[in-house]
Amino acid sequence: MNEHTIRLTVNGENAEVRVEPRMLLSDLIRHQLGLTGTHVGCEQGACGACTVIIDGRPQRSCLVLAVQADGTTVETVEGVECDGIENAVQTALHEQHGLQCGFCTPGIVMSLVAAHRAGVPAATAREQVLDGHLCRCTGYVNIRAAVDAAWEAAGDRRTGYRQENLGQESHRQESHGQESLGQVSLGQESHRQGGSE
Amino acid sequence: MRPRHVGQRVPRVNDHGPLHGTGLYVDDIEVPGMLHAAIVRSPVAHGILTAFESESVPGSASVFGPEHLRARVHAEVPVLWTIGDQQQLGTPLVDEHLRYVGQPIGIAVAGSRYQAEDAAEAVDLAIDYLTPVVGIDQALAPDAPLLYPDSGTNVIATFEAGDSAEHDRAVFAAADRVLRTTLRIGRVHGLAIEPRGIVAVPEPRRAPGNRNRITIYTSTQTPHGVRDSVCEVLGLRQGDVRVVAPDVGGAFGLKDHIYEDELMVVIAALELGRPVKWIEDRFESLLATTHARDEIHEVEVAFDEDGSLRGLRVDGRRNVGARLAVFGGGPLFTALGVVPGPYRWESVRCGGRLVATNTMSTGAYRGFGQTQAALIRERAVDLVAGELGIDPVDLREMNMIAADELPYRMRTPIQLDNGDYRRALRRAGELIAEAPAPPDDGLARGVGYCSYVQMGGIGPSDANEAIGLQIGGFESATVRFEPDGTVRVATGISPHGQGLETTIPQLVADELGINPGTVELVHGDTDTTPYSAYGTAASRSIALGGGAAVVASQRLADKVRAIAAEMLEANPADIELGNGRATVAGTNVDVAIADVARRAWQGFRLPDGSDPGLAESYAYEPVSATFSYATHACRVAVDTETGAVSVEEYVVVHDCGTIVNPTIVEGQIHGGVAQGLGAALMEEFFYDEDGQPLSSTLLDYHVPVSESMPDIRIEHLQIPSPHTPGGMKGMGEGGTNGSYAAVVNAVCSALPDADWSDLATPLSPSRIWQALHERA
Amino acid sequence: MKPHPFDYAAPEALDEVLDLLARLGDDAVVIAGGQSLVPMLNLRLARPEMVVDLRRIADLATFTITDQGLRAGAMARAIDVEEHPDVHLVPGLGDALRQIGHPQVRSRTTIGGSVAHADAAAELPALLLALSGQVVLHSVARGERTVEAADFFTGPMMTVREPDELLTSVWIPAHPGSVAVVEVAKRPGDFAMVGAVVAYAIADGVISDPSIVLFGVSGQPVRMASAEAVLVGAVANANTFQATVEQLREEFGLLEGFRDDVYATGGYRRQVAGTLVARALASMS
Repeated sequence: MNEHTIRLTVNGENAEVRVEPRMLLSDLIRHQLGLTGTHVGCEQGACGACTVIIDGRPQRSCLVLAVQADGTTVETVEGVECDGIENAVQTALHEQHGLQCGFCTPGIVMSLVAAHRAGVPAATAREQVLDGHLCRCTGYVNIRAAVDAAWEAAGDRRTGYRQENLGQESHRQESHGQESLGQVSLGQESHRQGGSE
Repeated sequence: MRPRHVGQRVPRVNDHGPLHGTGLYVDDIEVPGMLHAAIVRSPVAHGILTAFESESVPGSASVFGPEHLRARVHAEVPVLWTIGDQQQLGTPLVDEHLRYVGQPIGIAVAGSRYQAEDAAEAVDLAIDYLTPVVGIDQALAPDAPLLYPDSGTNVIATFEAGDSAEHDRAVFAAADRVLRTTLRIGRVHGLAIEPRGIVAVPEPRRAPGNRNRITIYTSTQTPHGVRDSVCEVLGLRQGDVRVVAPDVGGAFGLKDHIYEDELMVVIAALELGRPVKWIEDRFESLLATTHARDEIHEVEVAFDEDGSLRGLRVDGRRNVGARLAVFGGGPLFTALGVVPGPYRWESVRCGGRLVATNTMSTGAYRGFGQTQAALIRERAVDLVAGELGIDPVDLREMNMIAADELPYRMRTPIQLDNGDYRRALRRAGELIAEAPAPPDDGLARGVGYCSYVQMGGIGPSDANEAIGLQIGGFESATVRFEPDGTVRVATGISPHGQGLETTIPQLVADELGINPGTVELVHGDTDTTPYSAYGTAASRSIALGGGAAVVASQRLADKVRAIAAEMLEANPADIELGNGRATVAGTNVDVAIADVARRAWQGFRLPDGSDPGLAESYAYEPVSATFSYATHACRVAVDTETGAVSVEEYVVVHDCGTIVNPTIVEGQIHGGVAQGLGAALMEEFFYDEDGQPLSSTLLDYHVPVSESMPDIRIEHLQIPSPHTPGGMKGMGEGGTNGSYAAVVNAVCSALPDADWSDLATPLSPSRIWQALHERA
Repeated sequence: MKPHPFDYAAPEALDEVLDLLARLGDDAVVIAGGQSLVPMLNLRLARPEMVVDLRRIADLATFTITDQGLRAGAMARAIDVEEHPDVHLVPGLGDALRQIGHPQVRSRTTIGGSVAHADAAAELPALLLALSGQVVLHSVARGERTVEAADFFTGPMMTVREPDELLTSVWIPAHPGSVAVVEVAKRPGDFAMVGAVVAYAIADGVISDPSIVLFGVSGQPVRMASAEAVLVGAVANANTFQATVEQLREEFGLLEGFRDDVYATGGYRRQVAGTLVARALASMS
């Protein structure tokens, strides 16, 4: 079997690994890089437990081949404690009793963190973002409460972010989709760069 | 007055792992030298396996087929519940008679899961095909193919519950009216988000002739139950097997026993002398982790014109799948035992049949039959209310057992303990009436109710034996002060999301006068915890596991008082424990409990009659089952043109006795409601007519998402159990039992002109539309 | 489950991709966003010898939106189009995109991948058909060819794309009027049990450019031509819409392969498709 060498940044650290083409990113993260906080619940793209942030976007790591992640920046639940919203999401899930068995929780944390950074309002996060995750323990009631609490604690960034970003977008139209690998930082300003990975 | 921790919203102590990626679930376990397994499964619903050839498997992999596996088997996988005329008392670990798609028939082991799947796929199977039977009606047809030809029938067992036929006929004859309905309860999957998984780690081989110990890490509700089965089936000595439940990602009844594929992993590890990991994938999980329900009930209710309920008659058939799951027909047996619910009946007569088909076994799932019981009864009650034009709350109340009639023996004949059922009903009715009025949007709206009693805390052991259940009903705890004054509570229950790591320390802390933060729950390891046949299941853990911890703590507190009295030169009866100190009542004379603990472990100058050390164990044998209860009420909006339903208001008024931690109780209710709502509206596992599963991905098996779920208003009544130490009644399954029937009743109430005479759940948009437009 | 073994290439030039496809044909499969392909790989339903990844071909990831329409390279991601401030210039596009899966899936889903995958219950193929879009295919053997949406879809997950061809871009023209994308799914984000794309414009008080496409009801998205004909030149009012839906229900009878499965009966799909179209028509007037 041909193995491929890929380079990616995971939680701020550069990694160079050899992988079989068929290896899933979820397995690379969990079993080769030892970051077992990302959970695998279906490998069908449906449950959301394996959601990680790739180049600023929440994505199913079970639906990404590890080779496709060459050159990307990946964040997992182990690595998201660097600014306010991460802590706010985790604290709110704890304080609102937004987890029971905890298996779906890491994916939800990652989706919510990405959504807040992207300026998604709390109402949208409660509805559209959470609908991308299956939780069998909580009935979602307290997770929704945690979204509100986290957004409240960290501040709803929507207004400032959207306006600023819309301004940028309007004259970035032609360059949309150009390679932006390596330029993408994980801050709010740059997450929409590039239609490509 | 010392602070009480019971009743407080103490934050959960074990959230950090999942939130920060430091949890330890079974797939997170890595052991040096570990191999990975994939299971070879039957591709057909019915057939005879005539050859299992592994010539094409790469040499780097090991494959164990039926013959090889059978050589290690000592006994059948036990069925722990014998009901009625049931003959099947166990099932073979491997069987060339293939009876369902997904039946494990071999195991492949290789260096990675990827390679193991390649190897499993390379096994060549030769199969003589047999005609499958899929549904209950098909299996009961006169010329149906037989799963067990020697028995001459697909009926695995029949049983009866409740009143005699003669009494039943007399009550029905005397009643003014009789209504009938058919309820088809869809096949569901409990669907824990973490599939099953196991890592079997044999110890390095000892000298020839010595036994080898094996440690089994497995995603289970019942580590001791798993050890019992491993040892029985493989003929191992119990002391040679250690079973550890690490963090478990949900279970809901699915993980309450060992499965054949898991035993194959243990065999492979023993044969190879290497650690072997097998993690069930979602496809396998949907095919071969126990399903649930799949029942048809013919229901008749006899009543008088004034609304008095008189007789209930239920003929229930349950599709048990290809082989009995570990608790066999228990869910149907339980359903028919609790079906009378919180109402007075003059007669309740039930018959049950367990029917074998070429599908996955149906087994335990949150509610364990009580969910179906609630639908049977509450649907019947609503039919009567509708027929007589009486408000459904009023009809319920006039037939409901009053607080002062309790304890009350149901006609099945289980004894209800205490409570105020009517108060819960009335309050739920008030709350749903207070809900914001719906917009005028053309949708059809209806309110549905479900009043139920929820049997938890099942026991005592002698009662289990009397109903054919082969495990005892007690729970044990050991509470131990460490020399530094912290406390460890070893328990046989095995929490996996229920928050018992938080709530048991709350109970213990109050008995010992210390802070719950100094108390730690030790669980999930057969080497360090007392025996429990159930683990965490059946709404037992806080009532019985908690009860055992309470009594052990009370005894330990007595010992603390005795030693403190010696240290303080006082009378033990005058010592009060609180805030971490033992104090002579009415004085400032005190000593830190930690100092008492140190002295106890030093053994210095202990009072007469006190042994050194500071630990107490207690096995709590329950007096009788406990009954929490509730009324759920909800309002739904139905789009009559598309059949789409949304549940827009939801209230629960319940009593589970003493509430140790309201936040955790509410969380249990939320999750339970979601599971019942899913079964009512969207969850169903389908097979095609050849017995091929159609619901093999999470895109085909639909569980609720956030938008499916309303917010829930909950009010607690707290009437402590008269039986359990601490007064807890157990409530983990209640939410499911209430919501399933409440949502179904609400949809039916929203669409009074639809034809509900043969009602099948889930009430999918298509089914609702058919009931409205094709059948009505 | 884990995928069957395969080889992998991520060429930097389109020609290299086309060479691989010319050489391997059906034995190769192209991966764009992978949100439909990887589940099939994981279930071992797809067992290609080689997976050819388009991620390094920068040109394929570009897209432009103008008041004429959307020109999307095969790798343009659904979420980038959905969030683009000009997405409203192509009526119906944003609505269709937002009904694809969930945000976590749309962050990889590509326009081209969704069209090429041709799921009968998917939103984008239906939109493409309703708006008379085009698909551009490239191959070594045939060079570039442009296929009308009406000719592109041929059955369940089947299109006229030959095994050696790559879908390089999609053109979705902006409709001059309004476009509604409506569906009934089991849950938000699920594939539609029944869905419809309905479009029309009003010029000089009468309806022009009508389009009605149903999806999720048979093996491919279907355009309901005789119902559309009722709308042409008619006044947009309740009578017109009722006549349209009646014609639509007549036209159902001529459709082949109407889906009837465990999730919804054929009768349900027929009736509800009419309901959805009726509602869409009413909502747009």
